[in-house]
Amino acid sequence: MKFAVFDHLDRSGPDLGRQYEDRLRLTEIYEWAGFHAYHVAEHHGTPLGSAPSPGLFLAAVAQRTTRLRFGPLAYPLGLYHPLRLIEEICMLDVMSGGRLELGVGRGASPYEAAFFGIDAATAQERFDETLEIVLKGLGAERLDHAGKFFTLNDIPMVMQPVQRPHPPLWHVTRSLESADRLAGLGCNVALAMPTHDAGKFTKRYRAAWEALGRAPADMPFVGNTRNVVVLDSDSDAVSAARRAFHVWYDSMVHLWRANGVELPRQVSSPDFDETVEQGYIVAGSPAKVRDRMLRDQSISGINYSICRFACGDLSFEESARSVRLFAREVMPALLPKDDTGPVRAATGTLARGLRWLGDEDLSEVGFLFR
Amino acid sequence: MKFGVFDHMDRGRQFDERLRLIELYEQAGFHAYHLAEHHATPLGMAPSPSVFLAAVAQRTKTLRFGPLVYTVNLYHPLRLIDEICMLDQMSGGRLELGVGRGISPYEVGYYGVDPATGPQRFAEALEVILKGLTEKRLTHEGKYFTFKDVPMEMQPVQRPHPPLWYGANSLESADRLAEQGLNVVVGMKAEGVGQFAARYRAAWNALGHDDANLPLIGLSRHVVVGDTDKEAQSAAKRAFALWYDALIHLWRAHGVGLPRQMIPAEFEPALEGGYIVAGSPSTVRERLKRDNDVAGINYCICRLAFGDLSFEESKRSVELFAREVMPAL
Repeated sequence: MKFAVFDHLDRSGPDLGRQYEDRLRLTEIYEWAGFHAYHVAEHHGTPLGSAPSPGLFLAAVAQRTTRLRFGPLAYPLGLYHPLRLIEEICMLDVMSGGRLELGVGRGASPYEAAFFGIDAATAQERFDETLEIVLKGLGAERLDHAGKFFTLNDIPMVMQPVQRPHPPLWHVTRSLESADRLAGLGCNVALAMPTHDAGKFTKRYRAAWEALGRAPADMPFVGNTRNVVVLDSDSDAVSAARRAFHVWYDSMVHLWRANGVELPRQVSSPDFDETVEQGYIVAGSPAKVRDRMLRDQSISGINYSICRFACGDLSFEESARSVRLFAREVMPALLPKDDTGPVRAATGTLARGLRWLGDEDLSEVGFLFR
Repeated sequence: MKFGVFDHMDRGRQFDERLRLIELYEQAGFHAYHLAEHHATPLGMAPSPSVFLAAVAQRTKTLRFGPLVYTVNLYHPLRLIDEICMLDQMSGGRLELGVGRGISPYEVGYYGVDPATGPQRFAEALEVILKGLTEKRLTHEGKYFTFKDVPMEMQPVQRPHPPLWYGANSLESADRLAEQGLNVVVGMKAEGVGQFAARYRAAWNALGHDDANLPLIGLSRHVVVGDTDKEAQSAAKRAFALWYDALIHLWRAHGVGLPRQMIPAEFEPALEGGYIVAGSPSTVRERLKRDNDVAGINYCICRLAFGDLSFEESKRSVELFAREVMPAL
């Protein structure tokens, strides 16, 4: 079991510079707390995504962390020239000593693709062709390709990734049927599904994996995404989670509403309690979150737990407190008993090496971490 | 007089050492760090300059920075608007925005852009970008791009937009650039730059603008400062050969020479012509002083890392330059 963070970088207030800095400080905390990776979304023309070029934000993350892996989840391939993508992937992988996790997708929003002049009907074809080019180009000496959207002739691939043949691939899905194909590709998966559906998906993915004759120990990551708020009491956590959910949901639905429709229900219900019931949101005291996550983990059968600790108008202090409590009081219980890996070692220790947290820092956050 | 740094990020000792050098540029009092964009050539190992600049923003507090230049035609304009806003926000408004169409037909060709459409496409894209940076919604109907009421969620810190930079290669462009109020790096010898700067300044004044508000007019040179002339010039000669190979790499691969001899191929004439300024502090000081006067610039741009110059060699250059050359200029 590994733990990771997903971040829409949805807009939390008017001062974007401040928000970037708060989020970067959180990535330092994720690293300290033993998280495996930080995944950031890409969105355009909407308050849902303030990292429309996630590669830029991730280049900053690479500077602020030393072990934490990170990546886009996902690059909407249709919105990039494949050469630009190869170049950016290589730069990020080199600048981080090989810590990039490469999420690829078709782009979930037809409105965002349309801003770029891309017809949503071609999304699948574009995705397939661009991914083929990117995987062919990464690590190659020269690149040739003749396709429907791109023709590339004998292009020297000067940039090379650190991780060979390429950084680990990730795909986001809500579809049970995609399990076989993704298992075939050996692609890591980030689900956004109710717990029981996630259980069906992981079962099918695992079966497909084993049917291919591959060892269970080599199974890629299959994770499910949750909004997680852990505070000292259930009522504090639930009220903060509820407040932030509505702000985040407004960002989620923003472009759909602007086009006169509501968010597809399978993306998220507008109702906080229903969303909690489905398991998309886990909020409460450490004991409550631990119990719920243990239960959901046994149903969903995931080997990768993806938490969203910052969303909506959650303050930096609320998110930092959440991560702190999660790392100290929830994570250890979710690990298999025989796990002695780095997560176990990291959990429950005191903050070290957070440069911005001086010895004399008696602010709420400084106090919490000592 | 302000001082800037230009960097091709040609293949050498890469990102980590460059970031350490950039911290030294800030300490030494340089105004800005300018990074080139090149593709599929050892001349430019930062083909997405924004990605590297996002790291620069983390390693510095006051140093300004930017692409010189974004090859605008290789970006979707919306992507570029997003990147400009992110970098400006992530740095508290320290972005310097260099724009150009991309001068290498091979590099733009790799991206499937017809070089013949370059100037027209660039003009349209720049119009879209400036509109997008300054307006709440973007609507545009053009030959290459059509946008209908696209919400501009991202905004830069610097309004209406970060300072613009442009590379100029002809005397005639001075009038237009002055009218647009663009900062300029002039790719000519000191004497040519002198004519350019005089014409730019005259055009600027003719528009009723004050000398005090004159945009930056810069001349870029390779600079190596060492304890002795011999030491500095031998390092510069060694590194220049590698850099020059990178410069002509794609042209040679296509069996042609550079379209315009922007710099002599041999070290000695390049040194003689002032394209490279290398030597002891006093040699560098005297040469730059003389050439800066001839060129009439207000922005002195140095290339302090190129070819196989080691971190220590570049570091020594920066230290000596800051201590013994800058004050005299």
